[in-house]
Amino acid sequence: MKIALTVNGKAHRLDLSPDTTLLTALRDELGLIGAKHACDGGECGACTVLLDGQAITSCTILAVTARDRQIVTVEGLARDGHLHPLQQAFIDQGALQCGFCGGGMLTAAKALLDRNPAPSRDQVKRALAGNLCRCTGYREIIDAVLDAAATLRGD
Amino acid sequence: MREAFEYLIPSCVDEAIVLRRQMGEQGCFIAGGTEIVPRMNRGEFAPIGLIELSRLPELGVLDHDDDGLRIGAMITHAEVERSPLTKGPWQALSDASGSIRSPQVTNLGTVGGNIVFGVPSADLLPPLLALEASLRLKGANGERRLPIEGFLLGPYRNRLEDGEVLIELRLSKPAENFASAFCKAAKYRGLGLAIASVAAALTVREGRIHDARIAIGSATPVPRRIAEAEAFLEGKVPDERVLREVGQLVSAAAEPRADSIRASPFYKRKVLVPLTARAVASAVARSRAQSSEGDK
Repeated sequence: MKIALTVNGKAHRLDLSPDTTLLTALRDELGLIGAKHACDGGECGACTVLLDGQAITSCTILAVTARDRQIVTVEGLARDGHLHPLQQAFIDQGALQCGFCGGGMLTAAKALLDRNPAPSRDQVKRALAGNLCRCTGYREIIDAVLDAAATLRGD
Repeated sequence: MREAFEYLIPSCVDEAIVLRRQMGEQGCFIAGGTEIVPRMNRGEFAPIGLIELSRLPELGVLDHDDDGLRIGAMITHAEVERSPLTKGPWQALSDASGSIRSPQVTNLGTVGGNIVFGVPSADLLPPLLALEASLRLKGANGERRLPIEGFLLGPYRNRLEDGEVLIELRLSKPAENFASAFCKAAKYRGLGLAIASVAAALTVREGRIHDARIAIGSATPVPRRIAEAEAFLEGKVPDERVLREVGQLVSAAAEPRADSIRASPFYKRKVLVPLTARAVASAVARSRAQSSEGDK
């Protein structure tokens, strides 16, 4: 089946079996491996991407269902060689240890900040409630998101 | 077999119904996909094909008119949670929608999928039972309406006929100062799969509860109303003793299964007491807030 996917602003036309998940299409067809393949059931958030600006788990949606919509992966956050303020804040705060959850954390956080530029700590926790991290204990991640929000606001 | 798998994209509900009939019982409608896709990933479910419903405009309506509220089957949980229309008397729906799972799942999962799939923990069911929603269905033999009460026959079983589509929910216009609330126990601060849940809908007049409707989830084979608790609340002043007693009635009426992976029957019964008290107290507070709004 021919499927038109727009990922990080670039249009692709893929020939896929229609039971291919969006996650598999991104990783195996487009080589975008920032979304991680872990639980395969919407439990861990490691495969989070943005679909028309909303955070979704790319393992719980078929690629064909995401056709003709705007998909953004963690690879789409940096612009012209400059890291997104969220990425810089994750580095500055030491919010990544093994890094496996990072792509999902960053995209889930981006969906939050695009909708709510000044979230409370609780709102950050809630927005990241679907993203598991087994290294950091979350504190640095939440700090990083709040820092990035302040940077984006120009505080 | 892989080559034969088809994903069909109808342009209207009638076409979806025809495609489903052509595909037969081995075909399946797909809504948000948050249940079906993981099951396909795990090899637990292998339909010969899927028929997409998620983008059909007829199923994407969320509005209200003189008759009440209409919620299209393909409205997502996130849309229900955020909509200004699901506040006021219908706040229990918004409470439940926001609690279903992580944002990544509520952004995809749909109202229709939650109802039709019929898991015992389907969070929308207790509020919809308490709000006495009705369902509009369409199939090869035309349209019909069913009350939500009795729609689920058991876990994963419902009264849809083969190939029938849930079009929308209807919630009729409520009485003055009618209010509702939904509370659930889950591992992460009320987010995630429910250990037990309670929806309460009622009206407070002159300090007393009237027309209470109480429904529970995750503690019976399918969510259902608890008539004993409803009768008990009629005309009562919602003090601490009444809240505890209604909780005990709900707890006694629950039928938690022994092999639940989330909690023992003992724990479910125990947690239903404060959970019910909290849901009723919250609905009472909301009803009072509405009546004082009305006085301004």
